[in-house]
Parts: sequence; C-alpha cells; structure tokens
Amino acid sequence: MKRLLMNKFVIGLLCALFTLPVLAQEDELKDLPGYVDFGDLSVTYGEPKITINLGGTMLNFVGQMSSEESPETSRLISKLKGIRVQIYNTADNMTAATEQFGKTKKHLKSSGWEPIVQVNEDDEQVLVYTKMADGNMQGMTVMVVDGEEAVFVNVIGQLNPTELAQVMDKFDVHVDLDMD
Amino acid sequence: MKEFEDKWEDRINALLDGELSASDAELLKAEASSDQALARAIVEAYQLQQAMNSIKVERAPDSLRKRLRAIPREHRPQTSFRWLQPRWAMALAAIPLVIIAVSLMQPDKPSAVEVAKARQELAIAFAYLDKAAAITSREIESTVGQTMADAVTDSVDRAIKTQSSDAKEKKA
Amino acid sequence: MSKKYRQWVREYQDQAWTVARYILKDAGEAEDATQEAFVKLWHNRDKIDPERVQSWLMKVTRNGCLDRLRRRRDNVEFDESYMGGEVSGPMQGAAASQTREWLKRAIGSLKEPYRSLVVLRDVNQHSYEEVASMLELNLAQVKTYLHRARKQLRKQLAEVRP
Repeated sequence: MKRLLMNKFVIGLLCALFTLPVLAQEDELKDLPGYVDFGDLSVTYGEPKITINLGGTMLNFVGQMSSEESPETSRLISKLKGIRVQIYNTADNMTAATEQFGKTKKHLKSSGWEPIVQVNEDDEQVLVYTKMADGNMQGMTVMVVDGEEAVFVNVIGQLNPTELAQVMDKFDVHVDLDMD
Repeated sequence: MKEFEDKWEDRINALLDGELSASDAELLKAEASSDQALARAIVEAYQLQQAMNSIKVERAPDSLRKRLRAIPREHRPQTSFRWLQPRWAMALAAIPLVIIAVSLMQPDKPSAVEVAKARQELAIAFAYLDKAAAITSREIESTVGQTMADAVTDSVDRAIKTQSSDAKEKKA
Repeated sequence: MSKKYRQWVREYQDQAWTVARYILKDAGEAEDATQEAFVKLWHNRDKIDPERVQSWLMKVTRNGCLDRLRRRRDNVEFDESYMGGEVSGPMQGAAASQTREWLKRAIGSLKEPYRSLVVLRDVNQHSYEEVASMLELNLAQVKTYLHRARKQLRKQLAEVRP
C-alpha cells in the first residue's frame, strides 16, 4: 500500500514537473509583441494533434546544441524568442478554421501586423503576416488550412525565410508531413 | 470503293487535325470540287468537329471532388511522432527518477532528453513553415510561371528586408 | 496531403470523370470508378513517372470502367437520360445545345474502343501519342479506329439533322 502511494506520488510529481515548463514557456511568450493568440478550435476539431510552445530559454539550449554541427542553424535560432504551433485535423471541414482565420486576420491588421502572402483557393488557404518595429521583425504568423489540417504557426522574434530554407536539410525531421 | 473511302478518311481527318500540308490540303479541296461525295464527307466532318468542340470536359461533381481529396487521409498509416511512441516513454522510464526530478527542478538547465525533444519540435515547426512557403510558391508558379514565381518568392524575402530598412531610415 | 497528389487531383479529376461517365453512363458508378483510379494513383504515386501520370491515370480509369462493364449484369439498370440508350430519331430543331446532347448520347453508344478513342481524343483533347499510350495501341491503330468512329458519328449526325 505504501509502495503504491509512493508510486502515485512520484508519477504525480513527474506530471507536474513536465507540465510546469510547458506552461511557463507559453506564459513567458504572451507578453512579447510578436505573440499571437490563435483562439481555440478544439470545440470543433477536438484536441490539436500537435501543440508546440518553445520559449527563449529552451531555444537557447537547442541553439547551443546545434552550434557545432551547424553554425547557420544556431545563428537562425539565436534570433528567435519563441515558437508556437497548433495543428488540428480538419477532416474536410474547413469552415471553423476559415472563420478563425478571418478573426485572427482582423486582429492582426488592427495590431499593426502586415500581410506578406495570401493564398485563397477553394480547398486551401495560406496567410502570412509579419510584425515589424524599428526595423526589426518582432514576429511572423503563418496560417494554413486545407481539407486535412488547420495549421497555426507563430514565430516570435526574427526569422529570415531564405535562411530557414538553407538550414532545413540540417534538421532531421522524423515525421511524415507528405512534403513531396 | 472501300479502300478509296478509307483513303479519303485519312486525308479528311488529317485536314481537320491540321496535319495535312498546305499543298495536300489544296489537292484535296480541288478533288472535292469535282466529287460531290467527297465534298459532302468533308462538310460533314467539319460539322462533326464543330459539334465536338462544343462538348467540354465535364466538371467532376462536388461529391467526387471531396472523395478524391479524402483519399490520402483514408489510405495512409497514422502519422507517428517519435516522442509519442511508447518506446520513447519507456526509454524515459529507464532513466533513474531522481536524475529526471533533479534536472527538471533546474529551470536553467533542461535535460538532454528535453532539449532533444525541443529540437524535434522546432524541426516540426520549421517543416510547416517550409510547407507554407512551398504552397505559396506552387500557387504563384501555377499562376504566373516558374520564372516569375522565383522572382515573386525572392521579392517576398526582399519585402521583409525592405520593411526593415525603411523603418530604420525613418528612425534615422 | 501530398502536394503532388493534390495537384494531380486538380489537373485530372475532370478528365477522369468524363471518361468514366461516358463509358459507364451511370453517375454513381462513374464516381466509384474514378475514385478507384485515384486510389491506385495514390498508392503508386512514387512509382509513376511524373511525365506520364495523365496517361497512366486515364488508362487505369478506362480499364476500371471496362472491368465494371464486364461484371455488370444485363438487368442492372443505369441512368440512360444522360447519354445512354439508343440514338434514334431526328433532333427537334437544330439548336446547338440539342446537337451537343445528341452527340454525347451518340458517343456513349459507340462500342469500345471507339468510344474511349473519341472521348480521349476529341473530348479530353489528348494527343494521338497519349491516346496510344493510354489504350496500349500503336499510333496507326489509334488513327484508323478513330477515323472509323468519327465516320460513324458523322453519318449518324447527317441522318438526324433536319
């Protein structure tokens, strides 16, 4: 009985400790000017299939880890203050995601974000916005919706698309994104 | 007679398909001026071609379009992410609990496992950014062609840099 | 979703549908046959030469439709109002739309491979070489059969036109 209680305590402690850094990471990002609130689509689509919240602290460590094998990657990461990703399965129901796009777009425009790219097809939409201040990029927001997924990516800090393209092959992406 | 008609058919069809040389076309027309049956066949062939031109490729119904888009989702294995695999969790369980607890309690020094996970997450984020860039590039390419697509994609990059330098100039 | 696959769906779904519709006549069956062809395309997407996807897909679509025709029992009813059934009787008036509808039915009533040849070459506008590849015929055969099909249609058109 004592052992069972001890195990439950340890499991509970581990859960708390794992959760705390994630929540802390998102909290530290909310006050940054490049942060964007994507809203919550879980009512329509269920829990996101991917949620990523990386704060500056963790990104620093990742950058340090990459510095020897790829200085370009390390340099790219060093300019980031945070990265957030939310991805939902839309299962061919794009309505809710498209509506959220519209709301986010309005909010971005009213908050001084500039549109960079907009693709509007029947079965696919892409929006890219950036926020600049004093000549520096404070953030980038990328939203993609199609019959498969609704993707929201918020980059806080500076990100140069050309530099990103150059370092992409340095990343060992072990997921099937059907990028072909 | 049949051989003669078949020979007509080849030439009439070549005429309609634009594969008959100018001189051969003139020859055929000259023959038709003195052969009513041939002339009638040519006229009928043109009438048929006109009628064919009015028949367009049919638009696939919306129900079919939806079914075709759903095929990849319905016919591929579940996407799996390494850190969600049970073996990742089991590998974590193999690390002594004390070490994990101590590592996590030092917020300024995450564990190697956490950093590796973060790196993977970063790769995912970058991959989706790259996907968005690829979609945009493809859409531009299909609209304005490859050369222009490259120019437009480059100009997106320049637009970001220009915004940056304009703002810096204003500040100065 | 695969970027490549999505592009192929956009580019070829209408053409594949048109082929299936003309061969099978029944809309529901034509949808099923078209979907089957695209499922095969999805499973073979990495093996097919990108330059030959269109030919491959039209061939697979057609073959799938012909298989369905063979399996079909004689007493199975299908929608004849679109382009099936006998082509008979003069057209009422010479309106372009009536000619078009009559011609669709006439094409639908051709026997294979004439029907496929006319649909692929004259409706879908594939080149002779592409049609040859799709039907696994040589160029001479394609032209000979197509010319016969056109001749048949021409005569029918001449008979029913007022």
